[in-house]
Amino acid sequence: MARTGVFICHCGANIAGKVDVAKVAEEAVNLPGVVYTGHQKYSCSEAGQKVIVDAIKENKLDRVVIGSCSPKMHENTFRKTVQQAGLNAYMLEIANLREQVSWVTGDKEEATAKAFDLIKAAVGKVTFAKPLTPGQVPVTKRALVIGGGIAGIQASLDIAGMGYEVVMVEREPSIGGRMAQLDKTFPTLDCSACILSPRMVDIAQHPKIKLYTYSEVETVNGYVGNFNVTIRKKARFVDEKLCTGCLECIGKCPLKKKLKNKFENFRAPRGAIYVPFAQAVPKVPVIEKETCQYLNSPDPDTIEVKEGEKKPKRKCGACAKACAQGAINYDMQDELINETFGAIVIATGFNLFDHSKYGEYGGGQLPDVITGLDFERMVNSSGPTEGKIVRPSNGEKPKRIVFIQCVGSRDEAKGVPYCSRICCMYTAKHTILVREKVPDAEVYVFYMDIRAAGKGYEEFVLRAQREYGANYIRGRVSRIYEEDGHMTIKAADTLAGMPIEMAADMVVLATGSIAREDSVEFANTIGITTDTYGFISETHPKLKPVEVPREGVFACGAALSPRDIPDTVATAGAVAAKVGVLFSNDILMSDPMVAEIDPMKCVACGACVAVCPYSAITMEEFRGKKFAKVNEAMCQGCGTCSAACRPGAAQLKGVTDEQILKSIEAVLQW
Amino acid sequence: MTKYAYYPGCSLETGAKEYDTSVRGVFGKLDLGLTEIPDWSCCGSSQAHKVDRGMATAIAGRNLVLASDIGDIVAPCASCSLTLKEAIIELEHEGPERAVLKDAGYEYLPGSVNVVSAVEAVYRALRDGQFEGKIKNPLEGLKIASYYGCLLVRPPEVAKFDDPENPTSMDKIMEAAGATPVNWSHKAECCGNAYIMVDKNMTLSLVTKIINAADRGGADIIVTACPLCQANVEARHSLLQQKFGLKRSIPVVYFTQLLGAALGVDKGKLAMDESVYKLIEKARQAEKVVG
Repeated sequence: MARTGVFICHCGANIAGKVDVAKVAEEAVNLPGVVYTGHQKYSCSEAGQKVIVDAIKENKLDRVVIGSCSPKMHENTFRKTVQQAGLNAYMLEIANLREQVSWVTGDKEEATAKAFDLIKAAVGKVTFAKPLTPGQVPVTKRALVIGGGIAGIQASLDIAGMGYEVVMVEREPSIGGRMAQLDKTFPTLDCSACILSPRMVDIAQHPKIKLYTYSEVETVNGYVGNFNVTIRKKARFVDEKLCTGCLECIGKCPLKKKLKNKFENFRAPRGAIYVPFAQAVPKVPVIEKETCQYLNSPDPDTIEVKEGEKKPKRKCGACAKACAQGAINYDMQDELINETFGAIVIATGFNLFDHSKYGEYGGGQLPDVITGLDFERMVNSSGPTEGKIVRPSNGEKPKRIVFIQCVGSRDEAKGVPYCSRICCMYTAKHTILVREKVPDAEVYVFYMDIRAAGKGYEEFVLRAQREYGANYIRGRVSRIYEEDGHMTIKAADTLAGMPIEMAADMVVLATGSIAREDSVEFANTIGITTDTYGFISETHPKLKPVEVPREGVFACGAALSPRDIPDTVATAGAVAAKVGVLFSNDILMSDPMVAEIDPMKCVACGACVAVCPYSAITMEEFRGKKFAKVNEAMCQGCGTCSAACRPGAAQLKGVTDEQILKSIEAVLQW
Repeated sequence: MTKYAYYPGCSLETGAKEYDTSVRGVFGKLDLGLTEIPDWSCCGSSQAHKVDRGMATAIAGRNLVLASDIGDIVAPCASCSLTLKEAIIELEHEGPERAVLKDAGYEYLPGSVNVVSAVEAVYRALRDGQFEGKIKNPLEGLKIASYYGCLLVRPPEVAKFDDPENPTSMDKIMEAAGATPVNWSHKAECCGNAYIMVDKNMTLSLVTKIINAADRGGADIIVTACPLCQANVEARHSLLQQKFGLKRSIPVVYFTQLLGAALGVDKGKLAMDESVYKLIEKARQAEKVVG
């Protein structure tokens, strides 16, 4: 017969404020197998844990039920507690009386009744608990970093700096990310490329870092310490080993003025063969498969012609002729690379809000209404206008520039209620850059609030206003339209309490940060989740800000939520530290709550093999009998096989059919 | 055949009779049934809610209850459709307004009725292919500025129709009628009608800006779906030219009048000025020359 102890936690007033804990403890004495009950203020405290340990020893308890907060919070704590008392860590069941009862049930009596029901279920379930032993798995001390912006760069350099191997995967032809697109950085006005480029070069040259650009992660299998990852290295059609980066090929492409360069926010031309920017790492061009004339003309080998007729030749091939190294290889194919990693770092960054959703600001149709990123490229000396601030419509110097804050931020009507955190600062920076380059231009900024929370940030905004004469008007712009060769701005000045109308030569919209367009799909590939807006969800916003719920996977930078460069670099460093902690282990304990298939009951129907999302089940044969077998290292304990198994051969250890049925029986019949 | 409960509202019985008759004509041609709500009353728009919100809801709610056996309500006036839509939201939950209605013998059942504007109903018909083969006299070459004003698509959480800042439904209807919608800046600006008594100069300068914007867009005609907008933007053009800087007088008609002309609705029902027909013909001829 079981000797079960039941401990009810007050959690201060969190549980005791709604649940009559004394009554629950008192009534629990009568449940089958229960030989001890008690209640205490904080079970998780040192004193509280001691009470549990002592009670187990004194009463020779062999299983324990704790009614407390969610097992997500303290299951590990209490597993250690019962272990201290000499029990197996899995002879424990937690009833969630806080998140599932006291926090969500209004009425005291109802809450007490529900708490007792959950205790009954837990007591029932623990009756059939069996001691479980964790397995051991080795740790592959190599990290995969996804994303080659400043977040990924910093994380990679820090992890590699600890002596671990790193593989960085970047989907664009070059690393550098958003930071490479910026001109200056706030609040110091450092040149962005000047502080970033050396780190990009460090990535390329670091002996511990392997770089795959123009590549994407396709599948992720396995588990912490042993992830099996497939990386698709897209055909670049330029041999990275042979190419010297002379870029002779680029000038020969007949499409060199025809296509738009994404790096320049589509405001400067490029050819089908291109490097996105001068400081690209690696400085090896790519040929875009979709647009290259050679690759899109029919292959003569596949064309049948009548006798005597000449086979048509491939179009173009100009870049291959220009390359003295013979680095152009039109036959290159995508390559699938399989690698094993102990940890995965997500540093996939962010996108900018598409202002065509603002019909009131011209819906993206007014040429002189541009975005903050357009402005960054415009003001950059290697950008489309070589650093000259000009109106896109006619190339003339603007006399008055209006900046509008919170476009795609703090705007519920557009589905983005959150603050993007960077726009107030980058707009202040833009006003300074305008006044430095075009001193006679007037600058106006329409804002809702100035959010300048950062070291030296408020001072920076004040400098823009006082030293550089940026005129800040508090109020939202309701409409922008073109009239007689200029933009008319209609707005409210909420400090003066007046509607205002103003003419402007150019308008810069401070578009906010949003998640990458494919972030949900990407999260599915990795096996993690996103928030409502598509940003990667962290495990705990305060205490586990760079961990994600899949163990061994970490995230940093703006993939998590909008953030600036300092915060991005800080979280990248934090991720590196977490990876370092993980890699300091040679062996990890695996979760013993995995599936197990009883070969005597198994009828070899294969249903479990088909449903297993982790490909952890295979068919085996022993002395002529076929049966399914679980690879415990690959099993994630999801229980899908157990649900699919008709004869009941597949069981999830710690959550067996027997245990579940007993909890149901306990709730309904005890 | 789609059957609608027709809510003309006060304007369509008085100053905007041509909107009423042209709506009836257009709906007839598009095979959309219109049954006038028996014993409908004023929706309370523009006054009631300023006095007592609960009363405003109850006044509009009575009409909702009366229509619930017939079908979705079509309220052509932008202000009426918005007021009725707002009442649906207010009456969604059990509260004193519903109790007032029930006591008066009008029990409101949430979900029993829906409200659309005339633009919405016609746009639905267009989307469902009900225009096919029905445009008898396409408005070829006619350049149209679709003027939505402020209430037809706003506030979006009440209107629940089209883009609140850059609406396009009326443009698409006019395009289907063979006309050329122009891209212009003031399609959803306020005409200031409500302030004509308070600050006449302000209202007239707003109107002037709207017509000048249509002029910049190259419009021959402005179409609207709101009796207040129509009356306000069409009138006093000579005064606007003298004192407010109006560049060119442009006629303002209901979208149903022009659409009716394209569908071949009787001229009597459309009640459109002969000068508008001349504009239509002129555009058609010019188009032919170009073609």
